[in-house]
Amino acid sequence: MKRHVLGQLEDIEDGTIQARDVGGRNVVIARHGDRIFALRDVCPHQGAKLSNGVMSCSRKNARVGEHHVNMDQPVIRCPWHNWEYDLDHGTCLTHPTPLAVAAYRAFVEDGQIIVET
Amino acid sequence: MSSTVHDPVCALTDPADIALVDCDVHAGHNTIDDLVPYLPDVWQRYVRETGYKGPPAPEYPKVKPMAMRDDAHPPGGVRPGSDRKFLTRQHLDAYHVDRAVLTPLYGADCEPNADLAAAMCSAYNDFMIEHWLEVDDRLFGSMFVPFTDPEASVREIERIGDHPKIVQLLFFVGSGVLFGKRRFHSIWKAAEQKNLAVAMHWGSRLPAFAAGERPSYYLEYHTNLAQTAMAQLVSLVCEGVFETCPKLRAVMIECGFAWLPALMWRLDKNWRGCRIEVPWLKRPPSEYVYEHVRFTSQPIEEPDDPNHLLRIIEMAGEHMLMFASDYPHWDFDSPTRALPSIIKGDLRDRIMYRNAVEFYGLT
Repeated sequence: MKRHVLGQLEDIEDGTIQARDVGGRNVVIARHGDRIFALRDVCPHQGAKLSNGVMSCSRKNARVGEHHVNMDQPVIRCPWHNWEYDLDHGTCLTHPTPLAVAAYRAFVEDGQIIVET
Repeated sequence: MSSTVHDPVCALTDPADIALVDCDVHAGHNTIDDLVPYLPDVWQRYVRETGYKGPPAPEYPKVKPMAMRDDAHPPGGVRPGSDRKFLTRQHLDAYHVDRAVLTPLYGADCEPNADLAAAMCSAYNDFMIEHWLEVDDRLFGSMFVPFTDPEASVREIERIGDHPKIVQLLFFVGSGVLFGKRRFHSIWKAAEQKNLAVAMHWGSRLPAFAAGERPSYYLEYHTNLAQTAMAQLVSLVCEGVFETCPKLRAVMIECGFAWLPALMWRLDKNWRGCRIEVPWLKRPPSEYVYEHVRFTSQPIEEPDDPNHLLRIIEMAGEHMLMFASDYPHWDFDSPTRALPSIIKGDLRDRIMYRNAVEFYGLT
C-alpha cells in the first residue's frame, strides 16, 4: 500500500472534482463536505476521463412523480454518456451487471488529503 | 417437366393436434343497429336524430374491402366477424381453437364526445357479453373504456370488470395519446385491481403520423404502426406504470415482435444516462417489459432465413410471444402454417397455447 499526500482539503472546493496524478495513475479526486473520494480517472464504458464529468448526488428511489436527492450518496457522472458512479465504491449505479471503476481509499488527516494506492 | 413443391418455411400441422389459444379474433357487431338496444334512451334518440353511424372509419383504404379476407364475408352480406355461426365454423371449429380472445375493433373510445364515447363503450361491452362471451365457453373478451375520461373509464371497469369472460381492456395503439401518461394511471390501477390486462392493438381511428406527417400509403401506415407500439411500450415503462401498478399486465397485439430486443437494448442504454429523470424506475426498463408485457405473433415477421426469427424469439424469451391469427383480416396467420417448422416442441407449445393460458389465466 502506498500513501500519497495530495495537499490540503481547502485545495478542493466542496462539491467539485479534480484530475490528479497519483503515483503515475490518473485519479479523479472528489470532495463532498469533509469527505474525500478517489476513483481511477477513466470510465469503464468507453474510456472518457471522469474528471471531465460532473459531481452530484444520486436520486433516491421514488414513487412516480417524486424526486429526492440522496445527499448520502455522492456520485460522479461521466462526461460522455452520463453514467453514474458511486464515489464510495466506484460502482456504476445504472448498469444491470456489476460494473465499477477502481476506487482508492481516500481520507483527510490533519487537514491533508491522503490517497492510498 | 414436373416439379415438386417443397415448403421449407411453414409447418403443416393437423389442427386437431394443436393446443391453441388465438389471442386476436375480430368478432363483433354488424351495424350500429346491433348496439342501439344497449344504449340509454337519450343516446338511442341521439343516434336516431343525428344519423350517427358509429366511430369514423379508418383513414386508409385497405388492400381489400374492410381489410378482410375475401373468403370471410358471411352469406347475407353482413360484416365479416359479425356472424357467430359462420365465424365458429370457418375459424374456431376448423382450427380446433381451444380458447379465443376476441378483439373487436370499433374505436368508440376515440370519440371526441366523451359522454357519447362512454355510452358507446358500455353498449359495445354489453353487446359482446350477451352475444359472444356468454354463448361459447371458448370465447374470452376485451372491454372498451372511454379513456379520454379516466373517471368514466374506472366506472366502466367497476361495472363489468368482474365478468369472468372479460380478460382485458382494449385500445388502438394509435389513439392519439401516450398511454403511460399520469392522467391514465387511475385506469391502469382499476384494471390491476380487477386482474385485467391492458391490450394495445394495431390501428388507429385518428390520423396516424410518422416522422411528423401522415404517410401516403396503407403499406406505410401498416408498417409504421410498429413505431407507435414502440412509443406506447416505452411510455408505459418510463412513466412508471408498472411501478404504480406492480401486478398490471399488458399485451401488444399485431404490432410486430422482432424489433423488441433492439428497442430494449436502446432503452436500457439510454436509461443508464437518463435515470435522474425517472427515479421511480428501480430496474433497467427492459426488466419491466419482460416481466409485465407480452406480444402476439401476427403478422409474424417472415425473414428469408427462419432461423433469424428463432434467434430473436430466443433473445426476447420464450415466454414473450402468444399466437394470434387476426381472423378475419386479410393478413390472417394460419394456426397450422404461420410458425416456421424450426419452431417446435416446447417453444411451439408455449407460443401456440401455454404463454396465453398463463398470461390471461385462462381455464
